[in-house]
Amino acid sequence: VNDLGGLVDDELADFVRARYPQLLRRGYLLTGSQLAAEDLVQEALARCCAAWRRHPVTEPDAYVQRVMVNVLISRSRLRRFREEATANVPDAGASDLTSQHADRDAVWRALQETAPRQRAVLVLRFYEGMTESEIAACLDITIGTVRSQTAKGLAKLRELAPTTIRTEDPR
Amino acid sequence: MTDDMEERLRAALRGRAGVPVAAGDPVAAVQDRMRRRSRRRGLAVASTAAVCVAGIAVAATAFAGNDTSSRPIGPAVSSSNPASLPSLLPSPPPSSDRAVTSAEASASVVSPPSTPPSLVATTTLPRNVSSIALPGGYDFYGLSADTGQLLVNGSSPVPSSAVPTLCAAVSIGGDLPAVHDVSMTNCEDPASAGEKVAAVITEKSDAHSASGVSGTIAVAHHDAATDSYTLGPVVMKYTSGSDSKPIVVSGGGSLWIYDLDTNNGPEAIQVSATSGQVEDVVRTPALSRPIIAANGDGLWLGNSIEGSTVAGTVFHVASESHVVTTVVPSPNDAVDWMVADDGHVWAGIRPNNSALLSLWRLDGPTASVAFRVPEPSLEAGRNFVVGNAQDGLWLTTPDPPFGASEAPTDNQHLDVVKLDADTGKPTVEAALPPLDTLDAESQTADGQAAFSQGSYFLLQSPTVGGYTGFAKLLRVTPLP
Repeated sequence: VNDLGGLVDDELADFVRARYPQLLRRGYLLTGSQLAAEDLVQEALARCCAAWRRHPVTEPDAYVQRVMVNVLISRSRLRRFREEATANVPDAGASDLTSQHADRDAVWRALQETAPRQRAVLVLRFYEGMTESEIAACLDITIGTVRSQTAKGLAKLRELAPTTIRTEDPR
Repeated sequence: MTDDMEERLRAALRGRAGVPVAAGDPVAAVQDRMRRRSRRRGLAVASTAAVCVAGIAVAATAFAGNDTSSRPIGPAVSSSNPASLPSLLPSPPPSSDRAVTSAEASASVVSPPSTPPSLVATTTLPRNVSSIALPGGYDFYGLSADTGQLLVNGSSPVPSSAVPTLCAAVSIGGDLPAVHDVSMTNCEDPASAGEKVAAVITEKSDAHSASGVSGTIAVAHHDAATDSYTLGPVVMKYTSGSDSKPIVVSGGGSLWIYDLDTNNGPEAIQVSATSGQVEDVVRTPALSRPIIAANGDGLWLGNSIEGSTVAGTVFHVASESHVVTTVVPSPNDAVDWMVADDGHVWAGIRPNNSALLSLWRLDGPTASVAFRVPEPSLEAGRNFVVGNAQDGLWLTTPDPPFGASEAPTDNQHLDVVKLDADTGKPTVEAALPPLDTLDAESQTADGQAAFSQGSYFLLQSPTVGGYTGFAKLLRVTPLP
């Protein structure tokens, strides 16, 4: 079966298969859990497929990314949960593999404490390597908002995952 | 001195990006999701704890529509921290809004089931509908009208410790289909909604949880002596998953909290809506994403389309009874929505997983069937229905219905439908202009609508730009 049971055409089915692993990685970075990532990506793709049947999309990857962020924000608002500050941030010790792992874990957990849109900006900027203008276009926000969200997000990470060590200059 | 947070973040993201592994055929997974969406046509996440209160700045506006006297009213008033807030002035309402002819309006009344709704929507609003553009720069996500005051819940896209979330408190003017002002308030305070008791849900990352997220629910109670809220002990612990989210509903003087995956298994807790005391804890059938409602007769649990393997369609928990009773035992039916009022429960139920919707009314604690009528003009699927015995039940439905094909058709639009509370007879009260996002917006999501002060209110997305949240509030005044 290559056509989503007749719900979308072959081109979209090919897109889903080709991009699913990457979208799942994005979803995981946005949500922090595999199950939530699968839920987010599948919901976003389902919405996109439904929309694409009506309006052809020239940049489907960016379209899906935007829908994923919108779904993430929408769900977090509907759930109205209040996040707790991450407890037990690992102490930063010597600059070895163990401490590097602990540091990544601390940053990772701090990232989950940021607001959904802020998290999306950080992931697109520092994982996807997108430019500010690309992020602005993808999320339909201004470049100024991208900059402010990036700055605020990094500030929150510094607050939640402070470090006392300096990595050695590899040179 | 600068830190190396950007590099640390890149390293953390690179290290985590390899974690998720796609299992199974993603096309099949998306196909399954689309089929489920076609059945429910609404957000899967049910309403959770509603906590809101007053406080910040005020902007003012008025409904557009055929009310030519509508105009922006009043400047910003006061703010506890005005410097932290951007401008709340609303964007102007769409200029295309205008009245339709009386013939168009009068053509909207139909009789079920032989005459399905067949209005042709225009690009303008019917004369009994007015709209307001909500203030720009915020994410609005839901309505509430529990205390008579209409609140549009939302939040700032830039979180602030001073202004965690915002509510737009909407006041409604007299007989005119207009809103007098929109005042921005702080949603984090239960007092904004006049709630004496609220469930406070806390979720956090949990590496020991299968889903990676676990949560607790405590009850906050208003202390009249100190005019403050006190957070009580945790009453429920749960694991959060895509099919298991805590659901909180109010009705009949109680707050009911349900979750599929608590530490004790599927469970419902009854809390006094005045004292905040736990009054009952009940083990329930394992219902995934159930439809639930509450009234003076207790809690009503509807087995939805969302994959539960439990046999039975509607279950009842009488207040403080500790017992669950199956009141609609059909093994293959699915509940799409339920509304409870004193002495009555209305439910949209699909027999045997079909695309046909039947409307039921169950009366009293014994759930005697007052009527059960087919509703072929209404799209089956999860929907958010509001109303009561006096004002009828209000909902939106695609016209023409998607049916089994799900393929949209030209000029497909949403009808605002009122169901007679005593007979189930539907009447189309308004045909809304077609939306580009009809697929996403067909039927109504939890919290998207409210019935208040004699009118039906509905949040809508912009007509362009896809799923971007709600930017417009419609008021539908009942036809004479």
